[in-house]
Amino acid sequence: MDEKKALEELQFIKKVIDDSKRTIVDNGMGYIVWGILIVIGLASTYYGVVTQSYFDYGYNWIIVISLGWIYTFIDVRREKKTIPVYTFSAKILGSVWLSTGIALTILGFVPTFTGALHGVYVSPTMSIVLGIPFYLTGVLYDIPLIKYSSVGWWIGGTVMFIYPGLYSLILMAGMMLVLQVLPGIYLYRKFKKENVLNYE
Amino acid sequence: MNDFDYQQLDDIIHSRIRLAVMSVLISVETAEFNYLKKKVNATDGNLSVHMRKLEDAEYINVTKEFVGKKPQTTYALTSKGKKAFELYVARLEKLIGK
Repeated sequence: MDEKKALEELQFIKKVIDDSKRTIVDNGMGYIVWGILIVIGLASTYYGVVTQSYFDYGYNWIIVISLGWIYTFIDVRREKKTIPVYTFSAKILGSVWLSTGIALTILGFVPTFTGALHGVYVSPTMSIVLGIPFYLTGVLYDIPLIKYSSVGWWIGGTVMFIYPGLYSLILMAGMMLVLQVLPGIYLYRKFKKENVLNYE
Repeated sequence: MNDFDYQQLDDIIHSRIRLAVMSVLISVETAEFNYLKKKVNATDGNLSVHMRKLEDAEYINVTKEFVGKKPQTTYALTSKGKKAFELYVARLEKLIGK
């Protein structure tokens, strides 16, 4: 083997490693399902406040968040059995999203129930926190759309903190659709295109 | 003139398909047979032969299970395989004087 062949072989190894590391094993359904559930929660809360319905807003959130976790639990179990490749990026992102989900669930319920956080500040708090996993996902999968959606979360969160109000429920719902559901659809289509799960 | 002895290269890894398989496995935790087949552009039979060689050398771990009614074979690099791959790359780098 000469130097030229050795260099070619090293370049080949690098290409295969880079390619494998960025294999997308996330089908984006988690983004879509959670996004839609949160929009339903936000819309029902907004409707309740505007129409002055005297229902406890905690119940609609308990229902949508429980449904989200049930979906996640089923999806993780299914994924473990069917996924054709488990990358280190997927492992890191799985942990990041799981820990973010737990943190957001706690932040969504406990501070409002105890009175530590006024309900109007829940959406901006969620928004600021959500920027982190979106940024990481965008970087690790090398998807600028997802990476820069984090900027949207941080800007939106900042605006809602500076100008608190009922509108933040609608703004948050819009952000969920644009910054979470749409990237989820993009990820889903990219995943389908790469056809990771369908190697016969 | 480089005094590198090419015979120092690990014969088990020194094959295009096995090198590609090892490169994929070093960058992921586990990979399923059909995924590897697609990645290294090999046929079932051809890849099976190469995977057996890597398995015999204890460079990879094999897990066979049924998902529903379909058999699934999953591979992962062993610590011995990881060391062998790193040594292989180090020797290539030595050859090019890196």
